[in-house]
Amino acid sequence: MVVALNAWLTLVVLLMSIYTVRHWIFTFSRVYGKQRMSFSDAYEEHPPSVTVLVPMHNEALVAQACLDALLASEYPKDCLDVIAIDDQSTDATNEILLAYAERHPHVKVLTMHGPERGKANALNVALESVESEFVLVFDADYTPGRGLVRTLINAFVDPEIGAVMGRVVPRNTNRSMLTRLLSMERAGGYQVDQQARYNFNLLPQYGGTVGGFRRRMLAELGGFDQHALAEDTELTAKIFQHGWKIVYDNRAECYEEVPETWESRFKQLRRWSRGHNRVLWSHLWGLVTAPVLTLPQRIDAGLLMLCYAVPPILLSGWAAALVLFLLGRLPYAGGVTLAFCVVLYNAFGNFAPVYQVATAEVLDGSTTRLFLLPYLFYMFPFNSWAITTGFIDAVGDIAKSRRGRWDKTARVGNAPPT
Amino acid sequence: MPTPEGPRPARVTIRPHRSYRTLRVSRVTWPANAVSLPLGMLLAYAVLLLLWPRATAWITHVLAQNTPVTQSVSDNFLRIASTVPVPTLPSLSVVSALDVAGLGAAALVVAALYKQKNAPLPLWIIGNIIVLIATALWAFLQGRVAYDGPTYMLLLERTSVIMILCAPIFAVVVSALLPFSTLERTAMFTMLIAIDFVMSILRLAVFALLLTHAGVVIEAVLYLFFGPLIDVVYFITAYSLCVVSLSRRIARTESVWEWL
Amino acid sequence: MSPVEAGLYLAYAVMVLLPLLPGLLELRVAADDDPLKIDASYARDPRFLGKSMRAKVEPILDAAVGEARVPFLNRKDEFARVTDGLASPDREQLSEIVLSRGAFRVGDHSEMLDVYARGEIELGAYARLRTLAGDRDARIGSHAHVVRWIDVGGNCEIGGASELGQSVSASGRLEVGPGVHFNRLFGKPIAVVSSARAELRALELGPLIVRTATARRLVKKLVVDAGADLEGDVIAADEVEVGAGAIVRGSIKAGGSVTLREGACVCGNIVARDTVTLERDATVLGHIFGDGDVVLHGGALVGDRHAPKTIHASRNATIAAEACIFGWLIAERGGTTAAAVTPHEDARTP
Repeated sequence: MVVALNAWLTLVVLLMSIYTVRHWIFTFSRVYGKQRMSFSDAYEEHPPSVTVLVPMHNEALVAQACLDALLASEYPKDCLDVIAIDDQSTDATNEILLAYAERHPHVKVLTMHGPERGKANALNVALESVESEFVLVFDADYTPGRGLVRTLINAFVDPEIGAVMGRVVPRNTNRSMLTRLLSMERAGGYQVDQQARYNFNLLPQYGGTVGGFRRRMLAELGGFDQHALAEDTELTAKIFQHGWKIVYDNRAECYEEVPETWESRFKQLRRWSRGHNRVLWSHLWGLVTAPVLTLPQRIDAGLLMLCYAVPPILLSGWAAALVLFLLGRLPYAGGVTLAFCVVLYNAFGNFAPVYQVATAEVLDGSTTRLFLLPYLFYMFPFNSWAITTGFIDAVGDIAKSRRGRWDKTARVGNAPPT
Repeated sequence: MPTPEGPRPARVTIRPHRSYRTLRVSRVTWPANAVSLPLGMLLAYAVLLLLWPRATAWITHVLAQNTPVTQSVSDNFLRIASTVPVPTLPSLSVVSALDVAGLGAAALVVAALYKQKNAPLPLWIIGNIIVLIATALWAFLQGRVAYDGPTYMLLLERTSVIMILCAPIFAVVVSALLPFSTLERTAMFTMLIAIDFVMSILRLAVFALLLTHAGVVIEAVLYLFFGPLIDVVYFITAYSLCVVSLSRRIARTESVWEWL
Repeated sequence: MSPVEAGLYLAYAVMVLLPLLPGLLELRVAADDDPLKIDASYARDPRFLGKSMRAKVEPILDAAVGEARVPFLNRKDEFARVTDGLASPDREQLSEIVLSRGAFRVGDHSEMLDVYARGEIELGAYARLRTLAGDRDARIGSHAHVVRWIDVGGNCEIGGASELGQSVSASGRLEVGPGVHFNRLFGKPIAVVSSARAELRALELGPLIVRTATARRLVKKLVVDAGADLEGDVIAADEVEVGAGAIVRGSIKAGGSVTLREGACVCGNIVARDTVTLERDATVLGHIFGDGDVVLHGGALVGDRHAPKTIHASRNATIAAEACIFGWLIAERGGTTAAAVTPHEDARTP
């Protein structure tokens, strides 16, 4: 038993070390390496038609800001359609959307009915009425800047690109300690992690909140899995398996509202974990054996798919350490290494170890907010437990072949700063 | 007259938008990274060789003179001599073990009913309670906990020695990613080793005292939650102080892109 | 409990909480809690620098009456000279920023800081300037040295052997002489020396435009035969060569280099992980993004009069005389114009 526990503890530490090294390399590349540019500089006076989908469920607090921002876009109005999808809202969302549609001919409202609910299903239904080749998707709490639509669409200059993802910047950073910590996590996840994966030609992720894709490609891939809780991760997996690529554009910044309460953040993280781990189950093998991917891409695919399984694994490492302790056989180095791993790799929301977060914040020009770095450590039990519960949910889903329920993140509805 | 290149001095660089920003390294950065690891570890080892025996002996003496912790044990780990205080553990009774487990279980029930439980602090406390219950149940079932006073304190002491020796590794791993100045780098190394040293000595004394009063059931909680983990939080705090200094320096020396 | 014991507990509690203190102070004082600075109005514009400057200097020009010397924005050691027009002889050294309501003309070997003129601009040879913005046409003599950028509201002509700083943009035609070093050029078109032949060809190319290809082929390496006509996007793991006179009606993505032989035409975009070469009279109607160099031979044409595009070279760009680009030319490590592409510059071409 002692040997088995020690072996497991060693494996956990090894896995954590692999992630630590991976993110160290990512951070190094982002700080000192040559940054791979996206296609923002593509100058286009007659851009292609694009449809923006905004799925909404009870988004009355944020719908207006999102639509106003989209309407202020400098993209030619005759090439831009906005489809606001009201996914069975019970608040004033539908009235707000209809009022916009009345005033703006290129804003259309799709009101969802029927037993199915959820973002993936809403997107699939909306896509049936889309005619343009390029489709962008924004979450309702996102406020795109004036040039964002064009910046994102420019990515499709490359015929190999199937999807594009922009950077998410929280706009309600100063609301609470949680929003400040989430802002730091986001910085690490996008400014460093996504950009570095793009630099290395690995697997930048399509995030589903500020991004877009080719309609033709999505049709080829069979659309979104309508029961997926992480339809973005699922699409990412399918895109790479089928030889398409994803562009990450660090300049395509979009401003979001991060959860302001722990409860709301817990639910969000749990849902992400549940959805991601279901994708892990269905796509891990396909990705790591995909002949169209290079070896580094396959390794990165494995690590990307596993990232929401790591917290439960890490917790199991802690349990092993506890049992070894009770048996009186805890190795000196075991506790020490585990401590390092936990703290270095605690900000799991966006897969960002502490040095990655710090580096991203330095690149962003932040100063004293970095004093909050040690507080990320106290997020560890929170993130670990939220992700672990999501992991357990996913295991239950797979075992019982049940569908997940879409648990919406609560909005606050702060006006975006301009 | 100002030349077309002026009036900004040449050393001022234009700072592009954060999306495209990278950092420059000075000529000394890479050599500094290369030498700081062996130098740092050497420094940590020298500090341990010179000060650890005296500091552990001193704290053992202070405890023996002023508290119920009167025993000690000598150690020579990695050729670093030490005198470690040893608590006199109260005898473990089945009743007390069950009391702790029962109280812990009750606390868990209360926590489960608490609406705001899904937040860092409540979850942190719940984690502590779970470990406490596990230790108490183990003690109840086995009649003892594997670590007696001397072995527990030696485990703690040796872990502390490893942590102090590991501090320079952590410092090099994180400092290689940013162009810290020599002063910032030196400050980080010094802070890490000094704070961890003080913290370790204090921890030896406090854990010995706590175990004397509370007994073996808190051994695991103390080691797993208030042991090396707290040291790493210190490391990150020291790192964050240096990163703030670096970030302020960059902000001072680089101007923001305008139309110029 | 003895005082020493109490002191030890207290000291340990303080030590455990101490690392949280700087963060706690930051949470209380909130010195750095704002969201990242957001520029919601940001939109990519090749003429951003010029437009941004105009927005700042127009109020100064409008407020000043007649000839005046006024403080310039927040610069402590520089003043602006507001004038109705300026004409200076050779070797003039203008120590003030010039804001002119009319024309601006200086002779050879002149030195100046920032200049904005609503009228025409004419600089003699060997001019040395920091920034130049004008609302009408501009003519700049040879051997000019630009430290920052130029933006012109009309046509712009720049003599050979000039150093063009960060960016030169013109809303109309931008004609550049040979031996010019640049980073970013924007014009409709950018013509190197004389591009009449290529421009004439541009007039005839309209019907070839294919916006979204219907087919997509994944290949290892592709050689399109001379004179062939290929429909659809091409994604090649390695290099792509389009033979003389061949047409590709779609976009090309190559893991290696892309070469268009004489008279070849690509109706979509080219994205390459290595060098992109357009040989004599080759045409690309879409964008070119090369992770390596971009080389345009004489008569090469990129973009279209009605649909300007971008050439983006992650390394260097070499543009030969008689090449013509409608749109934006960006060379991250600098570009040069040449009387003709020499064998040395063309050495990377397979």
